[in-house]
Amino acid sequence: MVVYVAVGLQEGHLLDRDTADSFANHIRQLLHEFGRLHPNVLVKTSLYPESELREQIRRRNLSGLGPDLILASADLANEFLQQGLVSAMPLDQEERNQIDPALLDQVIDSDGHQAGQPLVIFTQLACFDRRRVPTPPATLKELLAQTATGTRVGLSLDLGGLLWSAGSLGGLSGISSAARGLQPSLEQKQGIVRWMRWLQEANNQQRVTFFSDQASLRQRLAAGSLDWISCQSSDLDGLWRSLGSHLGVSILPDGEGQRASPLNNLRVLALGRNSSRHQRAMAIALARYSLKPLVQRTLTLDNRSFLPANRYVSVPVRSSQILATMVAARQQGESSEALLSWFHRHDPGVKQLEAVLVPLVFGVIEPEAATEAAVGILRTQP
Amino acid sequence: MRELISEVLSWLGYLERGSVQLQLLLLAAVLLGLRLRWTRRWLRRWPRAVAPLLGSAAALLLSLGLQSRSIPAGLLQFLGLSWLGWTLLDLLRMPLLRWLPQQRVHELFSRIVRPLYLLLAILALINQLDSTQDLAVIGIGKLFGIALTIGNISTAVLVIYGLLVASGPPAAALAWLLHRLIGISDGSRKALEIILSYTVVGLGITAVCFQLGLNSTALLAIAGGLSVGLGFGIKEVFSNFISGIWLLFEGSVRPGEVLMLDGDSCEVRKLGLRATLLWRDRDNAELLIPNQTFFTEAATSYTASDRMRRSQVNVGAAYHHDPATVIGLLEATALQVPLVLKQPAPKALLLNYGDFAINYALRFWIANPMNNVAICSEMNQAIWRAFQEHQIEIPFPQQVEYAMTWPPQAHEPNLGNPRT
Repeated sequence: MVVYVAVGLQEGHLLDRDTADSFANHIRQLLHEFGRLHPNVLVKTSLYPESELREQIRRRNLSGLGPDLILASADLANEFLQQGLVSAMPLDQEERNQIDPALLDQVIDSDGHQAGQPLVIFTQLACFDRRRVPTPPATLKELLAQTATGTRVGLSLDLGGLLWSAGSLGGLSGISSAARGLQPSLEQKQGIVRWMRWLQEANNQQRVTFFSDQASLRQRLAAGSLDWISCQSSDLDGLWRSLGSHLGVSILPDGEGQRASPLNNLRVLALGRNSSRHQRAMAIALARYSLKPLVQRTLTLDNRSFLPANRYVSVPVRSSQILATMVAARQQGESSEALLSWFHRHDPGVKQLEAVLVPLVFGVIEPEAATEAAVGILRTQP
Repeated sequence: MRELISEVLSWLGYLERGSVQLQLLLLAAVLLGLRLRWTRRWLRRWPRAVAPLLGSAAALLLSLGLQSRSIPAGLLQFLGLSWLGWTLLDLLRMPLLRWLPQQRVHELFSRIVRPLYLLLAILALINQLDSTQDLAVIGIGKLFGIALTIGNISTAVLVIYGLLVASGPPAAALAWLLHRLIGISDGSRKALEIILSYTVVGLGITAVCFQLGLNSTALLAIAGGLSVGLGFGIKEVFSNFISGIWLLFEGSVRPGEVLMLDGDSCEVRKLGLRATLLWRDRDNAELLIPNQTFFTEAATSYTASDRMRRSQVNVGAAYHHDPATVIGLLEATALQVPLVLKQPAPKALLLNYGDFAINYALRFWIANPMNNVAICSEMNQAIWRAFQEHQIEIPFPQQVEYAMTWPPQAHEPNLGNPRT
């Protein structure tokens, strides 16, 4: 019997040979062990760019050829459940207990249906070249100070790659209020203005460069033309291959008294709609197996690019600096988890916000005007 | 490659699903239904243009039926539409035949339209079953340290095929333009067309190699290997290729030329890069002669500077006829035969005094060398009729046999019973 698993590649990752190999390495052990328990089952994975996943699942479902399991971000899984592209994931009480309630809440709809089973969390970090940045900046002030001494910093112009700095500058609460449809207070608005002003100032620095996407940042750090970038933990594999032990990882710089707000990406397993009875049973068995503490721990330690969703898995933070950083990044990002789902629900809104940020960064519009425009966009989204 | 085979085999797992089984069974039922005698009789009642569409239409109707019952039917719909598209391609040929020669239409369909449609349909089907982007990155080996994947190899093959098929018309257009602008000969135009076409293909192959990631060192290594190959294994192929290009430029062997081959006149139909296609009128045979043959061996052409051929028939007349009368009659007869040119005028000659006849030759000119045998036959018949009319005898040898006696000294000539 064959169990088909469709895997959505996180944004910023090209589907190439390296990515395919890297993914195969990530799950090889999991599938190998599962295969020993179910020798008659072949688990067949297919990678899709996440931006195309919805359309592919929809088309394959119409033909009866849809996947049995879908590995995607939590918000995409919510959207799939809402659109009827996936079935609700049956989780019993014991399984629910194993998962951090905050993670479960990210994939539950208003009727209490579970859109997917949390699997792993990719965190947003700072990646740097140790040869050029011996001590990573802990605050935004330090970051700009380091650029003055020669550190070349790369920042992404897409909203997901910039929003972490809103937390550091006190802009997050205003953005969150506006995203909930509320009018931000004067103080909250000032926080947003502060964030936007900082973005403009950063662009004025000689050694700070904004790039259109995360992939450009990753490629330039690997090539040695940048020294410090904001990155996703899913980037670590590729960066390790290029930089080896020179790759340094830290949490994103906080502000003066405010924490950065990284967008950590929860990946979940959702159930397809076309499975036969046996395929459905085996898909659920595979999802449950992947949640086992031992399996989650092995996956985490083997890959060191994500955190486990099972809360009973103890992450060995003392033996691994990368894992310790990811745990810290996860705590740092708890404040922005609600915003993450807003972004996924409002693709057009994100594009409109980016259309405000680009002229702001390049000094075409003033921070105050950009703040008003951003609040307006956030509040008018349904 | 093992990875690819494993991927393809894994698609069989979909057969476990009831909805997939149902869709395939319905398609099989339509296909089998079309084979039934009753259905074939029924199809004959429909107009010829519509009948081939009914099978795919039935598949599409069934898919709509499944959809109305909320059963997945996309696969059946896709297969039905692909089938319909394939059938419509056939119908598209008819109007094209009004504008283009049959050979061109056949080439267009067999080399471009049908392969392209099939490829797109297969890709679309794979896209239903799997992620084509994921399949494209499956590795199939390494060449000069470059990892080859299904995707880049398929793209390379497609681009090269596309260049081979599609480089012809633009090359022909450019060669025609040069022919008109600078007045190069027709043979040179054809040579230029082929050279341009193969230059484009050569550059395309080089670009594809660079795209695959092969660097100039690797390309030089391949070129070195090819040189050795040219020196040993494919020397003849290369020699024929160069001979073909040369002959085209020289213009001595062009389509329409008439050459003598083993005593038969043959018309050149096509000058290919490896061999020349000749047509032999005698038995309607088409002969593929390697280009090198014309390049290295002497060849007789009737069409090098003009298309006229001087032909000849021989005839004998009895000794008692005045040669001048015979010569006059032969020349007058030749002028009566259709397809014999009036100018240069036919010429009859007394060749020699034979054993039983005076031998004459009648030489005449014809416009099309390929008609030689037929015109000679006409000429011989006309001579026979003219000699009959003017009571000119065509003698034939007579033999007289005698019974010999032994010993020879006892033999008396002309005493036995003569037998002819």
